[in-house]
Amino acid sequence: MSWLVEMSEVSKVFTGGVRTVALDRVTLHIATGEFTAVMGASGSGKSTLLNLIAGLDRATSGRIVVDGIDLTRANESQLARYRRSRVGFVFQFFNLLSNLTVMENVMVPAELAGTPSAQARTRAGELLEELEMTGLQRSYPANISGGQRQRVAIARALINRPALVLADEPTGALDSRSGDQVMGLLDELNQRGQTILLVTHDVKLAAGHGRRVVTLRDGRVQDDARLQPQRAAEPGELLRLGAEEA
Amino acid sequence: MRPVLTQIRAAVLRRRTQTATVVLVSLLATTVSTMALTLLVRSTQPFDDAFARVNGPHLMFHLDAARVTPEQLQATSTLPGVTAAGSPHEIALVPLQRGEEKAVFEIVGRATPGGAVDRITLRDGRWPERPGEIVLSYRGDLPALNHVTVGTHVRAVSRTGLIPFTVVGTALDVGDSMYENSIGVARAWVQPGQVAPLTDGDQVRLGYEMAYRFQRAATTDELAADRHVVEAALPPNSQLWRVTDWLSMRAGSVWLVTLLSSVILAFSVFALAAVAVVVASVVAGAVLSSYREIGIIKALGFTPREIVAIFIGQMVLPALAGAVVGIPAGALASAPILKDVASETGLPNQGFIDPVADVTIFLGTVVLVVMAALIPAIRAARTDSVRAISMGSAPAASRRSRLAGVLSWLGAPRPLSLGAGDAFARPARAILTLIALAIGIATLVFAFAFQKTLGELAGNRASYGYAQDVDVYRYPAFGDADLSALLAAQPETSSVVATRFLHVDVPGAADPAPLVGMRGDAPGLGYSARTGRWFANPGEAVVAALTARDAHLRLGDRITVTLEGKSLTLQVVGVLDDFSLNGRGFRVGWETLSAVQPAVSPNDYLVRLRAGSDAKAFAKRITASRPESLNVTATDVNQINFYTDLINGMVGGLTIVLVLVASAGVFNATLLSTRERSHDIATLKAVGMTARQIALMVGGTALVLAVTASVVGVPLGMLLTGAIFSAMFEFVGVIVDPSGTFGPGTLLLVFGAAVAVALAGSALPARWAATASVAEVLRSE
Repeated sequence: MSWLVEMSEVSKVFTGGVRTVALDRVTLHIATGEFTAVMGASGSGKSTLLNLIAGLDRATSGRIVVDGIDLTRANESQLARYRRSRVGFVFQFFNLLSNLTVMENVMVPAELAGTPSAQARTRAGELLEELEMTGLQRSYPANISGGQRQRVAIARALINRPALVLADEPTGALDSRSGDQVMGLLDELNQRGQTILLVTHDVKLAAGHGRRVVTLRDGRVQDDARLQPQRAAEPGELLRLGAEEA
Repeated sequence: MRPVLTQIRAAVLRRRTQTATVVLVSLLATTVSTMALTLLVRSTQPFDDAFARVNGPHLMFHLDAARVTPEQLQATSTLPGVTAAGSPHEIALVPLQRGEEKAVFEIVGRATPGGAVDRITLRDGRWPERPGEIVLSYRGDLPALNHVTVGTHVRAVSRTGLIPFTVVGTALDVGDSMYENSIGVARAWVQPGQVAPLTDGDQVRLGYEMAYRFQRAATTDELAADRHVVEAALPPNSQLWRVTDWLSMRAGSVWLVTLLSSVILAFSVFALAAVAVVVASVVAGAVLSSYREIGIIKALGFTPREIVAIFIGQMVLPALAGAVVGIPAGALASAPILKDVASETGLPNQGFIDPVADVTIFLGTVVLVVMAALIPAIRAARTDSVRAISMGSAPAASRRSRLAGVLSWLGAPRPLSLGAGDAFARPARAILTLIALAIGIATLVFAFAFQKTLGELAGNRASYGYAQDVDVYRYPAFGDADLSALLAAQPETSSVVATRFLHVDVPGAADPAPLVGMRGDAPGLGYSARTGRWFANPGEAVVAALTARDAHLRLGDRITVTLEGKSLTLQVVGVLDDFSLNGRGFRVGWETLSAVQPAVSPNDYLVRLRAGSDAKAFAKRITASRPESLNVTATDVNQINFYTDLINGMVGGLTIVLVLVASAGVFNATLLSTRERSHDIATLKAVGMTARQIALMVGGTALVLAVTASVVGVPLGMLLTGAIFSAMFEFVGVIVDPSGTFGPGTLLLVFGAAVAVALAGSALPARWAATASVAEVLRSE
């Protein structure tokens, strides 16, 4: 099996003030095309894990290789190029740039990567059309709904055709209907072969969409469950996962 | 009160960067202002003290004994407005010699040092009681004649030979007369009746000095009115040389300060204005960044007045810290100039600490900072605490930037267009930063123009009478032909221009104007016209800039002047800058002068030596050939270089101060902007923006500010340059048109410098933004 993400014995220690071990010798491999949900309570280390895979933070020890790039050895410029071309990030609070239009927000990563403006615009237009946002291209983030904002964020994450999409509590700031729509989109992307790493504390969300659920506790992998494809989790499984999370 | 002080202390310590910015700009501005105020107040103090002590004359007339009688002069002492007048004293401009050094003194025949006006203060010795005794006044620029003591022997150079005098006293004199080439001439006193034998009716003429005090003499207009009253009572054309007024004497006693005062004052006002805008910008930023905190402390029970006090206090404290260092630094910086002024005038040196000036600057800084911080502080006090606590941060400035849109449409890189859009996201802050930056740019424009102009003027040695390598002044006992032959016979001599300085009456002008006859190749020596050409034919004249302006003379115009009662018609063929004539007068060829004065001969010889010659050795050898008849001086440009270096250094220093303040303004603006946008920047980094692109984005903000500020700052600088140049250079006799110095090259240089200043100011915030941890910023959200 070819691994898209390889984490070996990765630890992350925060030393500012009180010494905190956020991740403790975590080893995790994610295959291309997988939809992996990382679960855990607050402080379990799931956001730290996501930041390390996204190249936003550096591990204290261990090795992380994503799409053949050793993040632990990359310098800042290489990490920036990695973030722009290999991963797409979907945040809980969307993090759209408020002074840019929907279209411009989607185009930003492509432009940063040096894609000619016209080409970036075409690609962004296609994505927005696919996400049913065509009529809102000239709108500003402040003038659209939360669900629409998250769809824009997904379009932005996809514009450079990343190998991996990272989603950090993507439904956390949405009502249930909008949340379902966003997760439906992620499912659809995964079915087309897009590798997705979802971080959530929501058991239902993890089990309902993830094909694999990794549970973290106190910075360690407590459980790594692979669910059957094309089936919803059994009630017992959910209960078990919920109990483990608690 | 204690909780307020605790909040102030905490804010000052926590916002270290902003505290440091205010300390820096306050330090720089108070240094410049203290220096300016100390110079302006202290430099004239020695003159004012001495002038009051001796009941100094508001006007001193120098009149031709051939045209006016002592009785006529005595009658003017009861004219309307005259409160006191001296007696008419005989005068003549006579060279005195001691050893090899000679200098022209105004010898005055006077019975006593006292009187109602122009009392003479003896430094030591006594007043002359018999023929052959003399009292000399201090003169700063003559080593030998300055250091005379009682009992020293000097000799007066006259047509009949050397007449010995014994120095019986030395005196302190507040005013110099303006002699031939407008160099101040010190006075010396002998018993009445001793002056006439020193005169020859030609080069050394007998006159009278008449001193007056008036009821109203505080301004130049009042002095001009007083002068008209006296002139109306005297025969026409009776002045031997120009009238001396006390305001000019006072300005002359501190000429360097007068020359620089307009620059220093303008720069001080600019520096203080820049401090005000930087402080206002810093406080506004502090209010935005403490939005939630303000809500909390209001909820805890702080009153609006206490909140205002907290924000003003956190600005006043660092500003005072800067002032505590800046004020002594400014006073110290003024010390060398005050010392130079004192040594030139011979008046006692005053200390450089001026308590009134220092306290004024200290209190002024407090008032300025309080005023600048007041509006943002009041805004903080009016914050809705519920909203502030619930929102957590100030409402973001999320307006669409048209500029960003245009740049994006033009295909500018996204980081650049994003940065450009941020420049005006907070309009009030942008305007404050633009003001600080525009001030810096305006001073840069001035500094470039000033440095270029001063360089050109300093390079034109003829304009300040230093074109020659050696200056040979001839006294009547040695003939023109003999001296010309002597000079021509020297192997080092390359060329000689012989000159004679006279005065002519110009229609409509109050004072006689100098007229210099020149024999020889003056252009070869370095003389040239700024506009038009040098004279080539009889009847042609090159006119000095101020005379051309005041007499409305243009190239090709004709003017008839009066020389010794004879009319002389001159055609203007050129205009020149002439420091040595204080910007006034005419230069003509020898044929032109001898046509009306056939008997006149030159007395000042400007010698150009061959390359590699030793000017000092040449001067020594020529002096040795006729020591009693010649005063030979090798040109020493060091003094001129000293002053040009000093002035350039001062302007350069002041410019650096204002550029630093401007840079601090940009630093503050970009720092606040990057902190407010830290979340956006983190997001951009998360989607792949590199550190270099972040730096480009922050630089884009600075670039837009620099370009916009240039649009205001460059014309402002040109305006400032014009105003200061006219105040500065006309004082030394040159009309400078600064528009010629603003070529595309200079403007491009200024623009480049402005961009560099802005980018330098934004460098640290850009670096901090580029290296900030994305995970930390996003985690803190």
